[in-house]
Amino acid sequence: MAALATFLVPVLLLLLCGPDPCPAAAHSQPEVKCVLFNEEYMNCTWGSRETLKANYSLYYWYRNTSNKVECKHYRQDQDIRVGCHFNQNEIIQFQPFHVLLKASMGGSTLEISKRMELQDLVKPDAPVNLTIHNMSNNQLQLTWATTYPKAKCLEHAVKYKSNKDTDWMEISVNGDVFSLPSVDYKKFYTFYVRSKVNKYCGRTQLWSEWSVPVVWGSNSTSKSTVHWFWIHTVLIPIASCVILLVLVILLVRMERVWVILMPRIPNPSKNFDELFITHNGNFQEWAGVPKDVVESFKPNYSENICYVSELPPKDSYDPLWESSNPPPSVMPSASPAPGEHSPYKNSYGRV
Amino acid sequence: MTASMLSYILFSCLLLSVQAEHYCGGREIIRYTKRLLVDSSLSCPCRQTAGSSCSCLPIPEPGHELPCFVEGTKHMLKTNMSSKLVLERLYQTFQAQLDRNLCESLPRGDQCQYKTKGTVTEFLNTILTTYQAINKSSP
Repeated sequence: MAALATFLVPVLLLLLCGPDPCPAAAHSQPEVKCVLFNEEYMNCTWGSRETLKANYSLYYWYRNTSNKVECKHYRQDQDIRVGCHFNQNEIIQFQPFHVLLKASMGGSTLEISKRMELQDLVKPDAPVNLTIHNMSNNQLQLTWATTYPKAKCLEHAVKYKSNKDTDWMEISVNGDVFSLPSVDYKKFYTFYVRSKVNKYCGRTQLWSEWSVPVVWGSNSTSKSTVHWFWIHTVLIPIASCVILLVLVILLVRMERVWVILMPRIPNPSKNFDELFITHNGNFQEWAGVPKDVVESFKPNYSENICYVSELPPKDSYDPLWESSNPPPSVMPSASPAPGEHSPYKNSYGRV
Repeated sequence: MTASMLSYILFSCLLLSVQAEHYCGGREIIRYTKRLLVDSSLSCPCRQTAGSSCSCLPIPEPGHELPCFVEGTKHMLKTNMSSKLVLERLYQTFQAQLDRNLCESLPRGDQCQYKTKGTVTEFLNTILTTYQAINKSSP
């Protein structure tokens, strides 16, 4: 049946519309939605000024009546009918409620019907007069009142958190009293309550709005929390930076402190100033060596340097020294040690 | 037993019997019915041909709810359903209310009168709506 209806509606639209503009909304068919506010009045709406283009008329009837009644109080948005307001005497619950919405535009008319159960469309008002009572054993008791005419038909939800919590706690409550055991007196609590018709009086999913909040916990606790926040996040970091800056400046300016932290590399040159300046590099004089000891190291003879060179061998010479006896040495003094560099190296001559 | 005590007992019995006439058991019936509605294993209690919808339970006319509820739950009990215990409890409650006129809010009609027949879900929703209305209107 649903599939057939889905097929027929576009065909019907096509037949109704033809060359004329279609009375249905540009993007989708309007749908009638009704909400019964606290069982005092009801509003049924089918769109907004932006989505509706046609002239709309709403008719309604209940199961036990056959006469269709037109809406007496239309809700308008810039001359376009967007909803219907029902007074309390026009509302009957637990009887099938039928509506017929007629949309007409350019000579063509589209009809949309819907069946509803009004007891399933009730939205209660938010609870009022939230009150906190201090009980024994660190327990809090939250009570509230409702303007809904049948309080026994309501279930409630309490939402609360303390100033130290990040997430809200939501608890379902059947009566009109909520107990919070073992509260912390150092914390600051906030409570909200909302209501819904329970399953014993309807099948609505509409919760009321959250109530005006009620708080518990001393004001000074909250103030001191704010003060501590500013101290921790602003004052302490700034003071720390200032103190650090002062210390750095003092460190740079006061050499005594700087030297302790960064000792200088020792320079022993001062100890040798007398050697180089006063004694002109004379180590013995600076060291205090006695003059006679200094004189004793000076040699009391002189030596003439004797240059010796090797003459090239001639063929006429007899090999007088082919025997095992080595040739006579012509060196006037002792020969240098082997490997030692001397001007006589590889040179020897004849006398 | 003194005379005052006897009169107290008699008065209490009278009060209880008056209250019993107003006992519709709405909350209990609503709980059981919602449990059945949630149970997706409820099968069709009728012998249906392939491709046809299962609409064989009476949707009562106003004033004839109780006999239709008795008849409908009895019909459902005949099939092999998983929630037989809950169905049995509902059937017994409806039968007791019908026999002993326990619920003044529901007219005591003898026969089930209906215009249409519906599915198991439609039938259960009718029970739910009827007793929600009684609950809401009761003091």
